[in-house]
Amino acid sequence: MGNKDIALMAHLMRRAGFGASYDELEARAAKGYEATVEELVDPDANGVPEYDELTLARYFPDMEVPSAPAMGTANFMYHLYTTPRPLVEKMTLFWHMVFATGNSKVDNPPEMLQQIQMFRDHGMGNYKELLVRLSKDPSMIFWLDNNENHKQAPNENWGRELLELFSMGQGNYTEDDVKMAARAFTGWTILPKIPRTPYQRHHWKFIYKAEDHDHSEKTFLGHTGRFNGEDIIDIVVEQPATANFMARHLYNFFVADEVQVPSWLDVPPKDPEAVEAIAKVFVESEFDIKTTLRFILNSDFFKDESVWFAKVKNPAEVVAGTIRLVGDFQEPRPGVLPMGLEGTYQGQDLINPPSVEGWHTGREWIDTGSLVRRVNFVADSFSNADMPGIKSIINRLGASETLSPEEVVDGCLELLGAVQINDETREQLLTHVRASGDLSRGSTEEETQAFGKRVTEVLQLIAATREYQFG
Amino acid sequence: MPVTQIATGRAFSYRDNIGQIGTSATSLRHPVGLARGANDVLYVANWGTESQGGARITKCVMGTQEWLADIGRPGSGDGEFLWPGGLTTDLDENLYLTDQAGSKVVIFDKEGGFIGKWGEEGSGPGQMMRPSGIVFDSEENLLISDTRNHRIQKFTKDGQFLDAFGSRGDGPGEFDLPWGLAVDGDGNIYVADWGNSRVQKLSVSGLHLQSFGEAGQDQVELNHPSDVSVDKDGDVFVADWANNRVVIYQSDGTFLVNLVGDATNLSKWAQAKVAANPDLAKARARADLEPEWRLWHPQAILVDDEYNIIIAEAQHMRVQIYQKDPDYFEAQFTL
Repeated sequence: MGNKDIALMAHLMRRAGFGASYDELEARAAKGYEATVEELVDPDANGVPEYDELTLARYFPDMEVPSAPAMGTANFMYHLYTTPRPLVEKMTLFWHMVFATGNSKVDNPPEMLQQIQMFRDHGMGNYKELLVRLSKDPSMIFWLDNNENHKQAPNENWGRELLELFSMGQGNYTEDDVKMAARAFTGWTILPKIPRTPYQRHHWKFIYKAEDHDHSEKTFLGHTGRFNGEDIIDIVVEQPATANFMARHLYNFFVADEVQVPSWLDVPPKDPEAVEAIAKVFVESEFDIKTTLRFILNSDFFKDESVWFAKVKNPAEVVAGTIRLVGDFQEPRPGVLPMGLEGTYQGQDLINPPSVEGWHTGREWIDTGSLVRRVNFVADSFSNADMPGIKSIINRLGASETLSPEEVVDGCLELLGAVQINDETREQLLTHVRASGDLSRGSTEEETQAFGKRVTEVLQLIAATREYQFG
Repeated sequence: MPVTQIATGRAFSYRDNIGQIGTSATSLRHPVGLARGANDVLYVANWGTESQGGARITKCVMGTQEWLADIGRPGSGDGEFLWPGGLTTDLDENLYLTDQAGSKVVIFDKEGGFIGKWGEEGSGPGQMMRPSGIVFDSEENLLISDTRNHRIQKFTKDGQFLDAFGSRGDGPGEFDLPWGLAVDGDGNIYVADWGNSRVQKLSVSGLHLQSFGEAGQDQVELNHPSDVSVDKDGDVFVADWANNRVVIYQSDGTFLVNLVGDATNLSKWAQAKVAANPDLAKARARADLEPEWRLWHPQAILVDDEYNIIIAEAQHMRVQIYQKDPDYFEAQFTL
């Protein structure tokens, strides 16, 4: 064990997906790094099946069109841990975290899921087109009050956040630009909504009301014209600030934790050259997200060992990664609600970020409460020796008749995805295992069970380490 | 679209709907199974929700919409179930419900008393994986869609295994996640072959006789059908689940009409809710309600001996009821 190709593949799958079992890592490593990147980036061209929405609808009607917010959360989380296209889902999560829209105000989980589906369908396409879709997304319109943005009474909320959080970042535009952007999006609204009772919620619909649009001339970022919303987006994406801002977001999400977004105005990027390189590809590809992702994942700065485990896993990654690792939910079964809520309890209530700024990431995911919660969740999951993924780890270790404590600890770390820990942590794990001596797989059912139990104990201890919180 | 669909010698007219969203009493929650009782009684199996409960069988009177009882509750104990798959009644009007989560059949009497349960998870003969459709054959044995084993199994009503037919595939007599079932007057078996987007007609012994529909969205095609019913004239009614409509065929497979949903009126249960909330009534007056009229995942369909076509909409928390006129002719008149 200790194969470098596997370790690199594990890094790729943690970042471009939600981790992978050791079997999957071996298969992907055999296929090759670049080929795996290609499959992740372009699943259509590589024969990866689409997400099976019909099975979800058949077995989870209450999750397909959820009335309770928690079932909407469960829906998104279910996609994360059951998708055959991990990078598509990872980018869906990325856009949800950048274009943060919250059910706390939207108050319509199915509509929130429509927005998530839009990210799923178009989140690896073209950024400019994505911004247009976002501008017409009913949840976003309601969330940022563009339905209250009228020709005679403009509302600047959407125009402001479009510039501040969704494209250019603070410090790159003026208050007048915000006002002009808002005026350009007047008339972009939603049709009157069908009430949720007596039968069921129905999806909201975008409508452009020409009679409520401000058709007058506007000056925006140095350009003058009778701009409508699409014109504003055309101008915004051509700004160097936009490419830099989105490049830093992508670096922060895929490569290494940055400071929180509000500090980006004052604190330079951790790796300015990498961010610059990402921005360059983003612009040269005319804002093609797939091309930009392909560049990032194949880059030296992404593959460099210094950025392995340089990110604190967000709760969605913890939950989805654990479920995928242990191999749960390979067949539909009741119990999706607690999986969604688990992310909530760990601090990431999917479809309901705390504000338009999204979640604070990195080390801010961790506090005493959330740490205990995430450790307990993972440790509980690892304790179940009947789960296919755990069974596989036990069987692999059991290939040897007897294992020293070192072989057990190092084997478990490897089989959990080439997890790296420092010497002190390793010594603590070894101390625990040494207390009971070498592990023998035995020959009777009782001995085999005892072997499995000792292995799961080590897995649980690893889950509780500081290092395991990083991905 | 007109609320009456005309086909050769037949008319299918929208009549009414029953339901509203809720988890008990005068409400339905993701209705997925239907059965008829005497005295105009209708039984509706509700999936419920994992977050709020509501899995139960609603017993009501079809014409008056009088709610009579909630039968069963969510869980895995006696009289409990989690993922109801299909519902049928025996000659004594005892209710037989498949519980997909528990891979079992749960039995109640018509007053809601728990009678028993049987079933075992697995893939061996007589074992089941996520059983869904359930119907009695002419000898009062039960046919069950053993969905995730991709086969149909036959049991006595007390759970003794008798026979099984079919396996995974897309050839004649093969299935992909079969769902609803029906039996016609001659004892032939109809299977909503969900994953293959077709309905298969089988002989009493399970031999393939005929297929209805092909995968697609044209009016004669099917997209993951969830249930099928056959009326006493032999017309075949298919719940075209993912196309959000019902497709009606003649017994020889000739397409007749589609029903897409016409619930422009509120059910009695829904009327009470809207009447109690003027703001709700105003909001409804402002909105285009057409999406609400239409069928949304019609999951179960049942045509009874009085030609009532009862359609349970999994995502609209109601049943829509149509009536077939089997002797329709176009009158010569001037309006």
